Amino acid sequence: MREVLGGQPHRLVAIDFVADKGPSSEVVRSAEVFLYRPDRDVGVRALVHLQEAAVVAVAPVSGTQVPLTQEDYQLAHELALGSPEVQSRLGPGLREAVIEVLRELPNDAEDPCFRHRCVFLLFRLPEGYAVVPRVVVDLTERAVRVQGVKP
Amino acid sequence: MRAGLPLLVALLAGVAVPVLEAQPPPPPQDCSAPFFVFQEFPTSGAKQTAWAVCWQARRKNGLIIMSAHFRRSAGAPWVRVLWEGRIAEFFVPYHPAGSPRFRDVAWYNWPLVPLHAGDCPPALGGTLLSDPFRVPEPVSLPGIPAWPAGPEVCKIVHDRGLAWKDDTKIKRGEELVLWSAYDAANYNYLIEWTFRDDGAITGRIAATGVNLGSGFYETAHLHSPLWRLDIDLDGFPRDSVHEGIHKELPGNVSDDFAPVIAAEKGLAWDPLAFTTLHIHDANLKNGKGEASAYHFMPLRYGTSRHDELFTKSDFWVTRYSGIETVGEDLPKYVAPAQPVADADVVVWYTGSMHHLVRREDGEFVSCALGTCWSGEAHTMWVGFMLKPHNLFDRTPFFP
Repeated sequence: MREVLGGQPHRLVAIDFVADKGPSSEVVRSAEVFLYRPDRDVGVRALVHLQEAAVVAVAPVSGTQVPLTQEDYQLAHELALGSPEVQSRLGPGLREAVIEVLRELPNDAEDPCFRHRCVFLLFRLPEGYAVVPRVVVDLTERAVRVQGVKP
Repeated sequence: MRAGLPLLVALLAGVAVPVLEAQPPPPPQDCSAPFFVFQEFPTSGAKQTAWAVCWQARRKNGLIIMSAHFRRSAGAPWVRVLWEGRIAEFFVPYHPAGSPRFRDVAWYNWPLVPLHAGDCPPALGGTLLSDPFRVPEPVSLPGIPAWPAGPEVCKIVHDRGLAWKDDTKIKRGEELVLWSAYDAANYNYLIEWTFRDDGAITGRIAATGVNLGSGFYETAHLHSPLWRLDIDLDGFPRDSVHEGIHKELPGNVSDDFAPVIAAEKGLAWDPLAFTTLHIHDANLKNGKGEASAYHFMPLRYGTSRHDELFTKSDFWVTRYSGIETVGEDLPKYVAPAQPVADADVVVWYTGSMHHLVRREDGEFVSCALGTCWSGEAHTMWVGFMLKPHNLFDRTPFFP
């Protein structure tokens, strides 16, 4: 864990309580702890046996496999709503929309989001999903790009 | 001891004592209510088979089966079938340009959708189950997929149609179903686990909801759920997996064989071979002394192959490790390959739904942002069956 996190600031992604196996088929009450280090875009999962308070297994995780964190969702939301281009191209109806966030992981090295932590947004209204320009938020660069959309 | 004394006195005095019926052994209980579900079959009349199941509902993996034990007759010992069953990935690649390619488990921590009576009508055998320890997450946190208060699971006990029919003789079957709805933004996945009266387990996933917007309203795509099944027949380890193969040979001669899988690996499903996995326990036998097994049988329409290495096989067999739960890492888990014969094994399986978007799936309507895409893609299912083989001593539910 220390090797991956290096004592640097990290985020708690999730803690899940799981049932690992004991030597006599008994349940070993355990937790899977998932941490993320944003500056290097790496994560780590650890299996902890709770009664022994011992880390029994560790798995490094690449940034692409680290789920969106609470901080990612909040940052995407703030950047998009604060973008003058998003405000002008979507209009006042934006305030009525629920924003849903999906990851963008392009394979194309020319894409500005290549190897960045990026998301794109869906805008949901009571009638359905808005047909609006595609809003991509680059969380690594803290940038918003608004792209055309085919209806 | 106190209860036994009057019986001993009566026997010594030559008093006739009514024959005591064998009491069914109590169900193994790896969890407490409401996570513990105990169901005997048939639901009316003398009880024969039974399931004892534990569930857990959580973000990311949705509805997880934490243990499942089966009782094959009223007085028979309980047999563990599953240590755990979960969804390890939903892989969703879009056509034709190959993007986006969602991993709905690895990339997110999606919640479940709270269920209500309409999802789980009592008149149809439904009971809503709630996790009393879950702290509801408010909708007000900006951008974060919310998991409001409400039941996570629907339990249904109902008729499953004909178990068998022989001219005028029939037997109707019953089953216990546990299901939840997984909230992956515009899509919902229905995660369903069924425990039948005849000892079979089915796992199914349905994709439904609104087709992806942002330019993909009418774009065909695949939904490929990947299950991780920790099958521990009669406990662990001492389990082995055999590859069930059917082969048609020239001259209308055919053969069926099932070599043991010696080391961790991925396997392809071959429709011409009716590929199945046969999971055996070294000690588990039926009353005739025959080795019992569960056969893993795909319920599928096609095969999804992509550049991603974890999609190169439909089945994977690995040795149990509590930290090995990530579907995309399967190629790493089997290299180097560890022995899996007479071991604690985990079976992984990918099924695929090919969604050719229909015009009926949606239409453009007016809304506050100008135009919205409105409509629903109806449910489409894929799954598997775990079917007992030589577990019973005779045809279950045969008069």
